[in-house]
Amino acid sequence: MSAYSLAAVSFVLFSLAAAGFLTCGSLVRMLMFLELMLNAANIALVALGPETVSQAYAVMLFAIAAAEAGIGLALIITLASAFRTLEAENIRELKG
Amino acid sequence: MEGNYYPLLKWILLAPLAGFAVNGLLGKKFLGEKAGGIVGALAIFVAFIFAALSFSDLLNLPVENRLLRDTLYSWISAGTFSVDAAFRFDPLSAVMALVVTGVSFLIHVYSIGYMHGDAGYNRYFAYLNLFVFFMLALVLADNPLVMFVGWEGVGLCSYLLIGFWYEDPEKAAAGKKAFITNRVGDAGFLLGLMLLSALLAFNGVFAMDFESLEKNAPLLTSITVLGVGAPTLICLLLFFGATGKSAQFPLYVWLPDAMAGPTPVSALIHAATMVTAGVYMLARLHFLYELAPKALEVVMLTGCFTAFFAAVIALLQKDIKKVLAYSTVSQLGYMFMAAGAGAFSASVFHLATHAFFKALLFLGAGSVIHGMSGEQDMFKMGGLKKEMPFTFLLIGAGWLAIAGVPGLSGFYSKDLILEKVFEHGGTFVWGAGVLTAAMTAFYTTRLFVLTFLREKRGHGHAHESPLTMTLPMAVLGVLALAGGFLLKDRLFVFLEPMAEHGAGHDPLAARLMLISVVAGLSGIAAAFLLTLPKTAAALKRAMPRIHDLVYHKFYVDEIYGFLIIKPLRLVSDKVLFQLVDAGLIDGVIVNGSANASYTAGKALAKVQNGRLDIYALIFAIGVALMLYWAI
Amino acid sequence: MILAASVYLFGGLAALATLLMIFQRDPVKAAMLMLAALLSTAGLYLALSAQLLAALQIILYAGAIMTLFIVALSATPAAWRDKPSRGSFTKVLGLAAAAVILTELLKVSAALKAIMISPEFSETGTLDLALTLFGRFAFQFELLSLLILAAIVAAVALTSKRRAA
Repeated sequence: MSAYSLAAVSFVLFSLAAAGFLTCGSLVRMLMFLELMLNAANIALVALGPETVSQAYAVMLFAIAAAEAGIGLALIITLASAFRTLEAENIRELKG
Repeated sequence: MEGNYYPLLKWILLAPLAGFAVNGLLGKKFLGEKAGGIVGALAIFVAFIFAALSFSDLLNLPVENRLLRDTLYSWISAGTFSVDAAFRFDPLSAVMALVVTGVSFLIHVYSIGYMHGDAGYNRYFAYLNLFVFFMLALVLADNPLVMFVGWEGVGLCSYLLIGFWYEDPEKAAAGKKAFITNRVGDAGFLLGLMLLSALLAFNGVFAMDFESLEKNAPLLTSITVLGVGAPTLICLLLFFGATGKSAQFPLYVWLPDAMAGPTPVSALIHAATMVTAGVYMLARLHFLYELAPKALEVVMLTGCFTAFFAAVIALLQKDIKKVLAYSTVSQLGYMFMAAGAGAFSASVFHLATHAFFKALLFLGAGSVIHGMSGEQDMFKMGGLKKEMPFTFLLIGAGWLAIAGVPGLSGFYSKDLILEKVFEHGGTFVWGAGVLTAAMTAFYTTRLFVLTFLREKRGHGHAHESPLTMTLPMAVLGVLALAGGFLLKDRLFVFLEPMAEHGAGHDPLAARLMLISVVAGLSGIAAAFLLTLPKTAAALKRAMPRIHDLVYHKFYVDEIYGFLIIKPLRLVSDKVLFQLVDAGLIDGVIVNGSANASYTAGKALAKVQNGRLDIYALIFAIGVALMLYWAI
Repeated sequence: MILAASVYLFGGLAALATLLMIFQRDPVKAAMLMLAALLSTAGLYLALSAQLLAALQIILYAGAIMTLFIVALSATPAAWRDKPSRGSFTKVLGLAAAAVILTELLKVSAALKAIMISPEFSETGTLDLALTLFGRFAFQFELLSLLILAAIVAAVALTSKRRAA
């Protein structure tokens, strides 16, 4: 099959995740969609690159994604406990 | 460029400038009165010596090539247009320079005595030196732009000196009036100058010095601007500037008010030098004016009208200096009449003799005022013959000269003018000139009679002036008496290259001379008769309205105030101040831009609302837009 | 043929899961849907003959990361999860932005239509991958451990402050 279709799959997943990221309200949800975006990028990487090298990169990206998720969640929990809310709307300390 | 290089020329100018710097910067503190006066007078004396040296060197040159040049530096250099700060010394400049420096020197010496004890002594001499510098720049200029620098500069110094005692608001206002009226004229001058250079540049001529202007002036005759021939328009505009500087109608109104300044200033600036700048300009640009006969007619008629008009006003003034002021305006009218008739050298001749006798009269008036401790009203003087004998004699000399008594300087020059005017202007203008001569004799005699003769009307004792004041007056007296006779033919031979009308006399000359002499003498006689108190009172009762009109100078100042100044004030206040300045500039531009920035800032601040999801949204929109536009 | 079908199948599953996730209110259910998406991705990897990657995807993403999310979700009290109604304007903007991004990306990759990809099953695929990973990219791989260490330290530091206070 053509590279275009694979790329298209990846792009569709990415945009859907982006749409979700931009329209959801809760912080945790945002992080989930973020992970899905990264996942979509991973697919593109695997599908379109030279075989071995791109797969190696993909492995590394797994690790990075995991690390990122960990730190992100820690941040969210700290933030949420400080502001007593999970909704991004309610955190307006930086307003102005 | 022809003309011999002569480095001394710039020193004629720089000596007075140095005097200005010394007196202006160091005078009050280091020099004090005595040294300050000496420095000032010395600077002018040096200039006079240099001018005399240049003059003698000029005489040694062959007649066709009488020209000395000097260049200070290259002043303007913009592409093809380049103008140097250059000076020329040809017969016309020589005459002017000698008159200016000579009379200035005498007046400086006079001022040492007159201004004694004044608080601004050094400032006075500094300004006076600066004035001479600018005047010399004017007469020695090699191109109209340097001449304009001098033109403006003398206007500035005139303002500074008229408003010398600036603590008095009236005197300061007189200074302002002089400067502003001059400026109105200068606008016309500038326009004429711009038109001249633009039209010449249009035809490919870029040099602006007088030599090339003279050569290329005929190029302009084929061009018309706004339906008028180019030379005519340029000459009229330049003449408008001259009416401002030389106090002709309609811009003469500043000269009578300028009498608020110290009397030596009136003598120097408003009799001998600055007001003659217009006449000099006409003589210098004679080649241009000869291409525009219509302009010359306007010049002649304006001069004639002004001479007549001012003489009428002078008949009834009671301030001694005002009589002399109007007399100056009238005599300047004579000079312009001559120029308008094409007799440029005759106008220069009258310029020289007028400098002598008018300066003498002014200095004498100053002496009288000094002696009477500030009194200027002639009706409060009288009988000073015994108390101020020397001044009496000297003013007498000036009086006879201006009245046109045969043999004295005024007679020769005025008579020549009337003759030339009769040749070119016809009988009407000549007749007005003769009538004006009669009136000139009348008012000057009236001045003399009221001040020195009859019984004493003032109180207190008038003391004679010191030697520093009487000696310069004596020198001027000699010049006023003998100058005409001595200069008569020599001047014309000297100015020959630029004078078309030589010594050729009209066959009717003798008869014309007789008529003008008779007019003068009758004027003198009438004055003696009509100033008797009873006769004068009877005349006043008989024609009260005319008397009022003339005494109030035909209400010209009031008319100007109503027609011009009042609307200008209104426009300035309502339109320019309220609408443009406060409304447009302050309101819309300054405050408006501040408000706009503030509002824009407030609007943009909404973006930063602290919400992460909105930030992410904006980020994504940014990326989308970027992708959209880039791809 | 099979390749194309399986790619579209798994890709479609993942897309569907993501789509449903957008409209899902309950966070736990959303997490489940995310799991489904990740598993579909693993299937996709399998279809592309990246077996190790599929395995790793299941272990790491679906296993570790998902677990992390679920734990975090349950660790936060329900009181914090109020749901104010979001302005529809911002929602529409977000959707529009995503749509524009998608369109542009598709436009860009139009040139890729010419290239054909047909990944073959190879017996030594994993071996090659291992050789590359520990050979050419050994340094980067080891660096990753440092990265994970840093992440651990950061997470602990962030969350322990609360306890100390």
